[in-house]
Amino acid sequence: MSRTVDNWPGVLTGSVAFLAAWLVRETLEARLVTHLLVQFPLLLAAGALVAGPPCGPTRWNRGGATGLALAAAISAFWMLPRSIDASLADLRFEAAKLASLSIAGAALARSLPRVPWLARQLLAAQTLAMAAAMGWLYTALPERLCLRYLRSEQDELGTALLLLAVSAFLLWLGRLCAGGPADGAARRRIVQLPARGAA
Amino acid sequence: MSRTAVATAAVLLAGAGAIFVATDGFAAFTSETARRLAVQRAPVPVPAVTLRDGRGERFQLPIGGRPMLVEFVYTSCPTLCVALGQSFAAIQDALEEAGAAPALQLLSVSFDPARDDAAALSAYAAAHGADPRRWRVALPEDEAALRTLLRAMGVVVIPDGEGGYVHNAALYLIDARGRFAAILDPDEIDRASAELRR
Repeated sequence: MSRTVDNWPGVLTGSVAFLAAWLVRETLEARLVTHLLVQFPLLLAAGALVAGPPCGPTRWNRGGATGLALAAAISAFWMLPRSIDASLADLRFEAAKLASLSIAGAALARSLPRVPWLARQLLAAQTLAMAAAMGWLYTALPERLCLRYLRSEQDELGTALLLLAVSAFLLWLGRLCAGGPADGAARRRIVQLPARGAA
Repeated sequence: MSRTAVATAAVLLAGAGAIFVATDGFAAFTSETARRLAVQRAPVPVPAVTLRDGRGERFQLPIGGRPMLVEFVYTSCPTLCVALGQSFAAIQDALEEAGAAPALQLLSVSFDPARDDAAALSAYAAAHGADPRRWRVALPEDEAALRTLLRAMGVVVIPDGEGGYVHNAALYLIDARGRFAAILDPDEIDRASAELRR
């Protein structure tokens, strides 16, 4: 049985998430906070669900490094205020955003479980610190960063990012103190496909 | 070197390259900065647009032969457009003090045809002491002309949710050849009057 068919619930829900991000994009993009904190995660989730967990060993993505780099590069590009404006003004940019963020989600799904436990914790700390720094920046900068959004919406996004970063940090710290999942647990999540010729 | 290291390096290089291109060499992270850099590097011809001022007089942009500054306003704006009007008033004074020959070089363009009738345009001009020989307050003749002008200058106008608008706070320089050549900040009075006296 093919991997896609094995993962049909993921493909189905991922496709629904992608369609939702696409079909209601005008509503989601009407506010900066829903654009970045609802549509972006929806697209990442869509890609992750369709891709499913990693399967078997790989020489091109050891420790999830390549996939993480890809996801980081794509996310960094779409966090640029100029890219956000362009996605609202130009359908080609919008299409590129929908596709590339889904790919970033797929790359994360295929890579995160491969990342060693300690590296994953460092990555989480780094991501949360970045989110907090961005949140602070959005609220502190006096000028409008995106021409297509109000200055007050920047405040809204900044506050939401700070709240999210602090909540996620507390959650992460709690899990860390409670003795987070061992490396082996993450490794067990990698789907082991049956060998060729097996039933 | 492992395949993963090669792939990761390639992905990071491609990502950095894409961001380098998308930000004009890490110089423009916002659309506003990008627009400023783009016109400075390559001035663009201003499309022919007909406007009508508060006195009902029609005229056409671009007006060749002399440089000109354009600002975009709506006359019921209580904040930004007042500041833009004050900038133009200061530039007008600087031109007079420098003994520049009176010529139409300052243009306030309204993007609010629904509310800015001739009386509103005249009231805005009078409130800021606009000398009609140097400074006119006008409205593009129709919606299409307004859209053309806004697009050419890269002006984005969005509703502020309280019946007004939020828009770029800038002065747009059209050079003597009728090209959109630079974007100035409203407080760059000296630079603006120097550009107009060229």
